Amino acid sequence: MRRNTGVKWSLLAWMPVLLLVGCGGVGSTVFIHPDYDFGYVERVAVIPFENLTSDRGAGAQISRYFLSELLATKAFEVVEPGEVHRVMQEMKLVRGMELTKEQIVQMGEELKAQGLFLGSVAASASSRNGGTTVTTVTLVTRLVETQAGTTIWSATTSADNRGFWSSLFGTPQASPAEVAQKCVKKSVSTLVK
Amino acid sequence: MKRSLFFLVVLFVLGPSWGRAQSAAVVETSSSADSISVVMLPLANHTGRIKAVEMAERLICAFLDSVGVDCIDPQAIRPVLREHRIRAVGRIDRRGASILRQTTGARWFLIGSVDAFREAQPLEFGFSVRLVDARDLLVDAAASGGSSGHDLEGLFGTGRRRDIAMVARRAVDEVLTELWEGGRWKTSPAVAAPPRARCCIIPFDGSSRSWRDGDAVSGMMLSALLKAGYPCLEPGVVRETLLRRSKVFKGEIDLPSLEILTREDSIAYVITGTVEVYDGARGDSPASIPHVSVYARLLDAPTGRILDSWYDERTGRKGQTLFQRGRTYSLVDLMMDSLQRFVERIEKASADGEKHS
Repeated sequence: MRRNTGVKWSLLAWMPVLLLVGCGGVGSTVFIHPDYDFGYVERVAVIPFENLTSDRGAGAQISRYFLSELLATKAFEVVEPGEVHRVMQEMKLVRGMELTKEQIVQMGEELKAQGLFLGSVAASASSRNGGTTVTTVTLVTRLVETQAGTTIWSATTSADNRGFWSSLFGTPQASPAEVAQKCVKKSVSTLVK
Repeated sequence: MKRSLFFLVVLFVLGPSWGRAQSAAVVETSSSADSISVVMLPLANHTGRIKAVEMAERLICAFLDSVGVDCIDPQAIRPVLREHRIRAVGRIDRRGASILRQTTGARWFLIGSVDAFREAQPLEFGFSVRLVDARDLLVDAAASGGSSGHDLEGLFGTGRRRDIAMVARRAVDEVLTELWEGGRWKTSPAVAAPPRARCCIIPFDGSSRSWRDGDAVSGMMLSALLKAGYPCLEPGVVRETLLRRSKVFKGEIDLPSLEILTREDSIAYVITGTVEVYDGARGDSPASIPHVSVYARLLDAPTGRILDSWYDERTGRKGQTLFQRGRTYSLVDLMMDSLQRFVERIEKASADGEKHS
């Protein structure tokens, strides 16, 4: 009898932990080229991310956050987006996700960049879930080196604003912009620790 | 006991009007009262309401008249602008400045924009002005500020303004009083202290629901930079320089254009960015508050390197304490608070840059 009471108490004690774990975000899928020397990549450019969602402007917005996050890591020098647009215009490129090897090499030469970040926003949506609004963002990004056009890093990350306290007590949730930033941070952290 | 209760009630009723800090960002310039001659150019309208500009121009001219500034108002200058085909709404370029200087003998141009205007509750008025030296087209002084009908509201809605003219007059008086004091324009920190590197602003891109949000925030950014003592080139001149390359930029710039700005205008830093949210308060309730979100970056003009990149999102509740004290109701004031944080970062980044060079 005494033993049963002990088990009950320990289950009760573990309950909040289990609930918190249950409310965790989605994991990431990451690829890092095993043989590539990342020390070679000093200057990079962020090609405007493609928007595969119905959320207007999500591609441009998340590209900005991505650039900001990259700069915050101080791991790379990042090319000014206006310069990227100029080169893309000169090369008559519209879609950043579909670059041929020759185009990647040429862009690298024009921008004096050793790497290009390409990406797409796969999901950016808000939905009602009971009394709360859940925002989910999914980002697919990759880093391509500009000598041979090889992908040396790739990550698929997701983030949302579901939380234990907001679900249970209705405390303020992260805004859609904060969710997007969280997703970007998660993505960049898989490349630069 | 009764006395304490009475004191508390008085505090709640008058509270917001006591604690409200004036948010106009100002930089001053040296001048003497005998050489004052200002041409006020037509204000840019970032609100979509014609009445907003008419009201702002009238109030600014009335203020300048009352303090004895010899000001030529926009209505008087319009025939000259038309005759010489000068585009000078909210900006001035070199050619226009030269013609206006010769025809009017002006020492300064007063240029600006109306950035927020709402006639329905909650009332709101916000604007930016800058004083541009007619000789070198550097901005000598700039200020941005706003006012809301809720600014002076106390307990049970007392003190709430219900007339847009009163709200606008309060904003104009606050901003211009800081620009003009004791019969003269104040001395610029850029003049008083060792001069800082020259900056320019590439108009911010706007991705919010508001009309011309990027242009409005660019004007505020200029005020915030000048407050920190950074000499800034008149945006109309920057535009003129870039138009020679047939380029108009919003929220970004390419390297060839940066090279031209460095070579021709001695620009050291370029600031640009994107306005993501620029929403004023909506609905007649003190719970209705403005919401802004802005992304900005600092570029080193000679090298084209991005020195800093920054994002900020805030609502009028930021800084709020008990009984809603410290809440910001004015959209322009809220954006100015946000931009001033960015300018603090610029100061740090530019100091780091100087250390490394």
